[in-house]
Amino acid sequence: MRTIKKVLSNLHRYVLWLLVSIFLWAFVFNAAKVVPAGKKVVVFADVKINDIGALTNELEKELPSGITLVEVHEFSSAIFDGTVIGQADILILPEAEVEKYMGSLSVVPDADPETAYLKDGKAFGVRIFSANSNTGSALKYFGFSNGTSSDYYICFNTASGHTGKLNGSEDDAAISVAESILALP
Amino acid sequence: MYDEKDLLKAVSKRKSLTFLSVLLGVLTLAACILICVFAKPRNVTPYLIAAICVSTVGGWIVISIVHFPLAAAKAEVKHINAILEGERELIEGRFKLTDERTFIKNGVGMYSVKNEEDGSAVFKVFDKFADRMPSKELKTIQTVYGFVTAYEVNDADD
Repeated sequence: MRTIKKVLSNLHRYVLWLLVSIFLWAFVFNAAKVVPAGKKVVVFADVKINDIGALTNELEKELPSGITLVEVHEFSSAIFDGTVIGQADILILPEAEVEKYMGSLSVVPDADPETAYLKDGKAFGVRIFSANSNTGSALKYFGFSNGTSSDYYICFNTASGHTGKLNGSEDDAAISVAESILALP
Repeated sequence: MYDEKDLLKAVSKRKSLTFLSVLLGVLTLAACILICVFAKPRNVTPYLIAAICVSTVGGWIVISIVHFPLAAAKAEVKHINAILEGERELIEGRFKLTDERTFIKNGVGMYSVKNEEDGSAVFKVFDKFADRMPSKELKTIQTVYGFVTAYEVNDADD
């Protein structure tokens, strides 16, 4: 009985320590482990991804210099975190959605007009999947042909710091990752 | 009943418990740092939860040691030290050890010694040393701050 009383009289210390542990380690992990935007390339795909782990492993086989991580989000992640789209360097969008995000997409000057999404003569994306021919890149990883039949385009966020000459920066890591995606079977 | 050996034993116990609590604290911290080092940036959450669990449980064990056995050992050392350094007083009368257990301010357990003449229980015996006292009536007791440190059995009681 006396032991129980002693434990109860120290209950506040146990609760306080639990709170200290949570806040301390959350702070430490956040400071030590969260990769800053400058060291990662974020890909947002408005399509179902069959295996995110396999895709990221594939894209990380040859990381551009200065990049430690490729982060891939599929459409469902945007439901829970609306900031994902704004933070993405690369956006994989269906044709109908490209128009919607036009204001935040970089112009791709060297894109082939045959496969580019053109608006007022400017290319805003490169086609990654053609619904007509049911062909494209990275079909193993992206469920393009599931659901509505639409062309998909790979686009670049104007706010990205990794799009090289598209926004005047020297860092073209997002371009390299996009080229890797387009080269995937 | 109190001697330097008791003090050394209590000091040794206090040192061992202090070492154990520091060791556990350091091991807990090291385990959490290792978890943090091996955490994969892509999937930090399970590692964070593991570090919080290890830190919480380790901390609770250290708190339990510090506030229970270590606090008791410190109180014991303080008590024995005070008794050894205190001024002794001889009191005559008819005294008997009782089963009435109490705790003094710093949590040290005591048994009361009853004065058979007036029925009062004004003297105390450290519970760890209670088995060193006979259940017979005592005619003289030596006390320091009201704690019994020596006794003389009343032979007429036999």
